[in-house]
Amino acid sequence: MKAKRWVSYILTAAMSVSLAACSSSGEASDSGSTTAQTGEAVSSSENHETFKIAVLELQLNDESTNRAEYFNDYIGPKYNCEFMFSEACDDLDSAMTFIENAASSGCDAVINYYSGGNTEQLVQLCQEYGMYYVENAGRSDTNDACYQAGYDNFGGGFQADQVDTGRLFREYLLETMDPSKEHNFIIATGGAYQGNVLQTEISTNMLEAIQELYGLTYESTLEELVTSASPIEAVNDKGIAIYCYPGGSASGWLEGISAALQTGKYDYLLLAPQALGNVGTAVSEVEEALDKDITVIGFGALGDALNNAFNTTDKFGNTTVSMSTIKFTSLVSAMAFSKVYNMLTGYSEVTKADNGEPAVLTFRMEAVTSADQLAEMSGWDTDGKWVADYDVVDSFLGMYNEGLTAEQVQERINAVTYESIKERLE
Amino acid sequence: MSAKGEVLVEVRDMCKNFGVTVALNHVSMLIKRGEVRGLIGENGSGKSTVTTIIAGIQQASSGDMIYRGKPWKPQTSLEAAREGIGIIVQEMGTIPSITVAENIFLGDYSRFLNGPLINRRKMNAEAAAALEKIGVTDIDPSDITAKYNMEQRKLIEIAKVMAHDPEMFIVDETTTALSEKGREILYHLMHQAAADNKAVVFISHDLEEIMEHSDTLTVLRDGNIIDNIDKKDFEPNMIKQKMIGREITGNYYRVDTDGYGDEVVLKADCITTMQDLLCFNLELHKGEILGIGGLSECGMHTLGRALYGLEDIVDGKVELYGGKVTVTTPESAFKNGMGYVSKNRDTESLVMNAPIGANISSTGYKKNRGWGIFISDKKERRYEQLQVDSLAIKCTNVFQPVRALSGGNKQKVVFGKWLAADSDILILDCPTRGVDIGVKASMYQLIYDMKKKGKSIILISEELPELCGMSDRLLIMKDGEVTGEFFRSDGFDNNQLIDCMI
Amino acid sequence: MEQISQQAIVKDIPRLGLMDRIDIMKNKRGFPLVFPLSMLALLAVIFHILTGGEFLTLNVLKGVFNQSLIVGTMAIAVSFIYTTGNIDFSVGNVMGLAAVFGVMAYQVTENMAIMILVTFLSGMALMMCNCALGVIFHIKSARVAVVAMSVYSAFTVFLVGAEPLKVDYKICKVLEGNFRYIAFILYFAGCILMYHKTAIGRKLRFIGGNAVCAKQTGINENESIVTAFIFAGIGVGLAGVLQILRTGSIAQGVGTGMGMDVMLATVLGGMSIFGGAKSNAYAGFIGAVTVTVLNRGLLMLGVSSTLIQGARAIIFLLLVFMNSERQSTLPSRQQF
Repeated sequence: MKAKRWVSYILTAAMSVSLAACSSSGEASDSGSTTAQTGEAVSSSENHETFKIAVLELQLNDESTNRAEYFNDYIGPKYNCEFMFSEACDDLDSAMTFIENAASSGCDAVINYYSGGNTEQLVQLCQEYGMYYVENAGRSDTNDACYQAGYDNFGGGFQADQVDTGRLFREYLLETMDPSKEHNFIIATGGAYQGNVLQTEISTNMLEAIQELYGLTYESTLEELVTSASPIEAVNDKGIAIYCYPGGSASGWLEGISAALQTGKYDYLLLAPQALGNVGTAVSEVEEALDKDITVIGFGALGDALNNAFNTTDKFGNTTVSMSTIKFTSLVSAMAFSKVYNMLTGYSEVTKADNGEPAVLTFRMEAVTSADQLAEMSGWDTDGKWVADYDVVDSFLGMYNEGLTAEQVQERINAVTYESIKERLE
Repeated sequence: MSAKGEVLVEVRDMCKNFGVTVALNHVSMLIKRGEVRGLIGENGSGKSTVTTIIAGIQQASSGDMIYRGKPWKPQTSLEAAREGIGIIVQEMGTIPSITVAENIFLGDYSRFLNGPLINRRKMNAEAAAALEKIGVTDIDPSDITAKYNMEQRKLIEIAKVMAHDPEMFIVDETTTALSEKGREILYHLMHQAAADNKAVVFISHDLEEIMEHSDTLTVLRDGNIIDNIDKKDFEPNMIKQKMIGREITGNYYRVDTDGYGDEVVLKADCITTMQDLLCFNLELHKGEILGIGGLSECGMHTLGRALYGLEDIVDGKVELYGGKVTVTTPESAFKNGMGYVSKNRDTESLVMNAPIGANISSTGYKKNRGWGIFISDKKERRYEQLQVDSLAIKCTNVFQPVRALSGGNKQKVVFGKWLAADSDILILDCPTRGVDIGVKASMYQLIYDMKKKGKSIILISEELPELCGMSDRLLIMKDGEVTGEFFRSDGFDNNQLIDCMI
Repeated sequence: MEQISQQAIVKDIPRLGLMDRIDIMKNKRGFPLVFPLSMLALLAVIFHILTGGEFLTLNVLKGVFNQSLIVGTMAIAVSFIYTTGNIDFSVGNVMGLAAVFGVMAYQVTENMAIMILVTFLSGMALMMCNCALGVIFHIKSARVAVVAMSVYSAFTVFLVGAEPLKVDYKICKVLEGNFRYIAFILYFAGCILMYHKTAIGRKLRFIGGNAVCAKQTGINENESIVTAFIFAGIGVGLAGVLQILRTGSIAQGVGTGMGMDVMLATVLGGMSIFGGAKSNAYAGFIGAVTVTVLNRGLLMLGVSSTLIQGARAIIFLLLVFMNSERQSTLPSRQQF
């Protein structure tokens, strides 16, 4: 008995020691390797003041890992910034706790990927601790007051260009579909019923595209269909079956989608929420069982999930996903970084719109329709092939661009397109 | 074939301590084949400790053991059982929620494996055989153990130990839980084993019993071996003296024939309970020790519980002080100056993990108030310490958990709790169960002192000598009814009493 | 007889092993308070040294206190229930739902006092609801908690909807400072007094230690459990108020998982969630502070977010291991 007890003491002690060792050595080797790789960048960093920036994450996934790599290994050395990342924040309280802890660790700014719903609290909290704040959200009814209140630590938001993203889906449907053939659709409207602007925009565009294609008229308004909190049939005069299915991450959603597919009625699955990775199995099951080809369209981030979706073919020889819009993590990150860095280095005016209120920066997504296209992008937005490289980041910063305005920054962001990246990286 | 008298187990210089308390102090002993070795000593003298170490239930702090000529250091009781050392423990050693057969072969199921499954039929059959071997035929091995009473469960345990056909078996304070019939079975098994050239260690508080059934006797006191005595030299007073370390003078029961008051303090008016009792009447007077005796299943334990409000009373009522108060719940009983000592001390009368002090002061929350509803630490400490001191409870301080005490000291804590409460009516259900002579004597003295202070006591006991020795009036019960009423003033006749019991 | 060796009586005390010494220490009276506190202090000092003297500063300590406040308050509240051997992990959801009622009352009346009152009362009412199910119908409290948890969270989701419910954050800010300190200190002091200085806590411990014995000592179990839930209800209501004041907004998931945080805090504070004789009212708060210190300290040390979880888990294990009561033999064989 005693022996066992001692063994357990020793094991626990050993574990804690090794873990502590891991954490410190891990970091040491990290910083070591980056200095080696970016030798010339480090020399230029000596001119800058050191800043510490806290990043508040909603989830820990591909995207956040990618982002951490970009910030820690690429941005950090050159601009002399240290980054501190949160664990997954599941509520406002834990977000606030992280910000408070970040403040006591000496952070100067916060980039919030957690949620845009609580701008007021977080801006005020950051103000209390003398930190700058930007968030991954647009301007909406819930945070409009903050934009008008003139907080000097608030650098505004950054987000996807919703209208443009909706357009991508609409154009793809119109280009690829043959109006003479009858198709039936499931449209997953995601969080549109909860007021998610991006998903509302995408769902609306999809419904409009179908409308245009078949020249049909819906019995309900588009708004009713898109924002319905329960599944609803979009009844129309041409008899095309269109099933609008709200929700996304909640349990029961996939089962609902799966059940609808199993009726055998639908051959198009259009996804507004980021759920390409989840529906694969449900779709292929139905394809196998009912011998029916189902076309899937949605949006995702560059990464393994998307690669898999485009590189597996169903029994009809089609890729599992037919089209997906994608975003470049480094570009979005660079937008966020440029906002806080401009404020930290005394170029706050760059983050402001003409009327003096904080500006919202937007980025455009790209549409991917084939494995080949995706293959062209392989390696993009990873170490050494960052979409937002130093030139791009520098071009967003007031310290390198006399008289830079938010509008100009937006133009420069818009200039980062699939073509321009391809040209630059190859 | 091993020779009679060959040393089976040798214990060398063994020590065991629990914290600062020394349970065994450099103990050495030899246990030989072919004899029944009696171990006797007060509670806390170390007899259970040494045997449980031999049987692998706990480990010694230092010292060696030799078993069958080889070093012996069992880590678990299963290991010991497999090697031929079986123990029947003082506490319940069966698990109530599994079947009898599962209990008998606990930890040994692999021998019934039939593929991945247990062959229950085979297991039950072997269990039945094991029970039959010890002469028990009225227990069905496929039944859930909880169905059987304490005595039957003890027999199941004995069957479990005997099923392994042990080289050496240890009977630790088992007889208190057994009736006459059960005891006969056990005595027979012990002598049989000794005759078969195996070793038997027999622990008991009952001096008469141990003298009758042991071949040699080892006396322990405070973790030391005091003496080894051969059967021919057995002499009760000498043994007692060695156990206690001082001379016990005369008998420890009361000798007077003082009467008691006329005032009825407690009256059971035709009470009927769900079990056992049907329209039962009883009166208890001020300053009276009312003994209630009978066989274990006669309903006297239920009666004790019912009087204290622990049983649902279907009809009739229990009244106190001439009908001023009716007892319906233990809460109302307690509030009106009653106290109850359960026969299941460890499970019902004490919080084992709580400190000694907290157990004692549990009756004094009202008394120990300082200002308003707040309890004065000072008063509480005094309340606790008074009992610890006057009862001479062996402990380092009142913050020590009760579970670390020996049986006798635990019982003292229970008594202390009610003494401190200054209860007017005390119901004592087997208060001296599993308690050694020394503590017993002081308990009797306490009971007598309480009587003299005008307290009324109901003494429920399965031991006739105790009842005869202490009671003013003695009721003998059978099948839930009083079959005889006897008075101290008339003198008690054992034969008459036993006649009423059966 | 002559072969049997007669051992001379040796009166020296055997040498004590380390585990024996630890055991003796654990049975000392002040141990349940002193040990977790010294662990906490040790942790803080270690962080202070490792961060180069940045940890033990007024600002950091104030922050630690603020962050521990809600879980700490809840843990004090629930300690009354844990003590009796009952487990209620629905408290997080109770707190959440109470906060929802409070905020809804605010949205109707625009009155902060009414919001606080409503939150308090709903917290108490909901706890009494749990209590009633347990006491009247004799359903095991853990089962009640499972049901209560899902019912309350369903209500919360239904009432809150997609958008978080908001309270004027500026007023929250004003109230947050002194109000929360005063309210917490009053509650904490009240609980300590009631638990440790009156019969209430003693009875609860007794029930938790051995309900049968408690009954035989004239303690009314139901009455005591109702008392426990009343104290718990006050605390949970207060936690609801503190939650509103801290965030100024109540979202769907409010309080979810907090029941587990409270359990963790209690265990880290050195108390068994199965209650009993060694329970107390302060363990949960000490535990909550320990969790906060750990989170903040690790972050300040720059341990990356992926490693924090592992590091924390190991320290938790270590603390729980050191706090836990271990019996040296079978429970029934504690004789010597």
